[in-house]
Amino acid sequence: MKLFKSKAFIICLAAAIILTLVPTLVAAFGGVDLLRSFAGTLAKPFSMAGAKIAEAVNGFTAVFSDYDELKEENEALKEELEYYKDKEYNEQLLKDQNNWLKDYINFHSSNPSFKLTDARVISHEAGNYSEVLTLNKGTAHGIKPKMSVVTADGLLGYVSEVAIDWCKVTTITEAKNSIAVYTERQGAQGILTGDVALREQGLCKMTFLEDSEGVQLGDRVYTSSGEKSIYHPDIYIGEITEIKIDETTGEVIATVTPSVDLKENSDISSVMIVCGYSSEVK
Amino acid sequence: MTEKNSRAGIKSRLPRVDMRIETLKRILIFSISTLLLGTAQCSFFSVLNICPRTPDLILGLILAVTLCDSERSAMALAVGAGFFIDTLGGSGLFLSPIIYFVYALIIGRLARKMLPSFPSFLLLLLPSLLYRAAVTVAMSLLTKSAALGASLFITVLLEALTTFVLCLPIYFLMKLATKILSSHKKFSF
Repeated sequence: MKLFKSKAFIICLAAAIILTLVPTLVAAFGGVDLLRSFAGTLAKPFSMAGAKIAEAVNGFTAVFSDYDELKEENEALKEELEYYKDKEYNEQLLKDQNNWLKDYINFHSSNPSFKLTDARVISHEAGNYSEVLTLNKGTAHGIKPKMSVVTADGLLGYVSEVAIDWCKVTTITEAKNSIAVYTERQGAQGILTGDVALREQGLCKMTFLEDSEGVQLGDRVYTSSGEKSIYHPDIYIGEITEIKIDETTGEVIATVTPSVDLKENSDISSVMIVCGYSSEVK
Repeated sequence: MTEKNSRAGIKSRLPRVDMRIETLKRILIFSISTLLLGTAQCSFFSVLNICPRTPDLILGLILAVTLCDSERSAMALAVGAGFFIDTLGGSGLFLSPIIYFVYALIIGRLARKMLPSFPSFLLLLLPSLLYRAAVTVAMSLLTKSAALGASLFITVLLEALTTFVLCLPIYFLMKLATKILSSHKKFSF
């Protein structure tokens, strides 16, 4: 019991009571305790250092402690990324399909007598450019040989070979093609054929023209009706871009640039096959 | 005569000067220990994620001082450390000086007949942890920060565990400190 009577005990007890009561009362009345402020300032560098070290240690240990959480998060993010990739891809697909359907409707409204079937190009003939394309429709879909094949831009060619679920299209730049055509402006008649030299440039030529005055540069060329013609009449083919006269025969030859870009036919992914012709369409 | 008197005066003052230097050394070492351990408790372990609850390192310090130095030193340290801990991490109620002072009194009574050794330190840590648990429960109820229940029990348990583990090195640090002081030869492992 000597301790309780000692000076040290009394001083410590008094100090403890003062150091408990004063800060509590000062804080309760919203004041600032100078002694605490001083002690806080003194300890501030140490506190900051302690907090920084703890932060660094936390960062280091987080690699191990949060491994499972990070793994799960990573998996979830991967799934999310896949979802958005798919979404973007599907959106692009829908956009392309939408554009194609717009073209399809536009073409159909300008040629209401045509019975059209859409088809997708599934392969191109090997080479720098393709004159023969393979489509994903065949006899099972009502496709027959010598049917016209068009795009929204104009005539592409004709069905040259048909299987059950695929067919081949020979384009108008092929030399074996021979199409009865006319020019829109002056009604000049002629025959559009392919040419080996022009084919490389994706062009074809119009021959059997009566005279050079019947055609002009920029004339639009359409298919004309004919008893033996495999093409439906009034399908747009392209424009006359060059007119020349053969020196030996004196024949007028017009070079036609097809509206369908056959040089870069890789862009052609969807086409329309003219399956029939309705004469009763208003 | 004058010379003799002055010599006698110097001789009588020498132990007092030594005592003062010793006291200053003690205050300095205990202050540094309090500063480091208090900062570690409030700024390091309280933020550390791998430490489930904040340990009470000041308890370990007071206990080690009680065993290694004296009960009176421990009381003074308890008041100072309590004030410092409140400065760093207290809010509203600043009861730490009283809490640590009472703890120093209790542990001083218990340590009175014990040898200043590590087993004694380990043995006295158990009532220290009980005291800490009682304080935590009392403060939780007083400040209405937690109700009596499983979560408070787990908090108390984890606090006791971390305090026990992290207080162990403090004994050896204080042993080193008292060697520097070299005033008390009674200290031994």
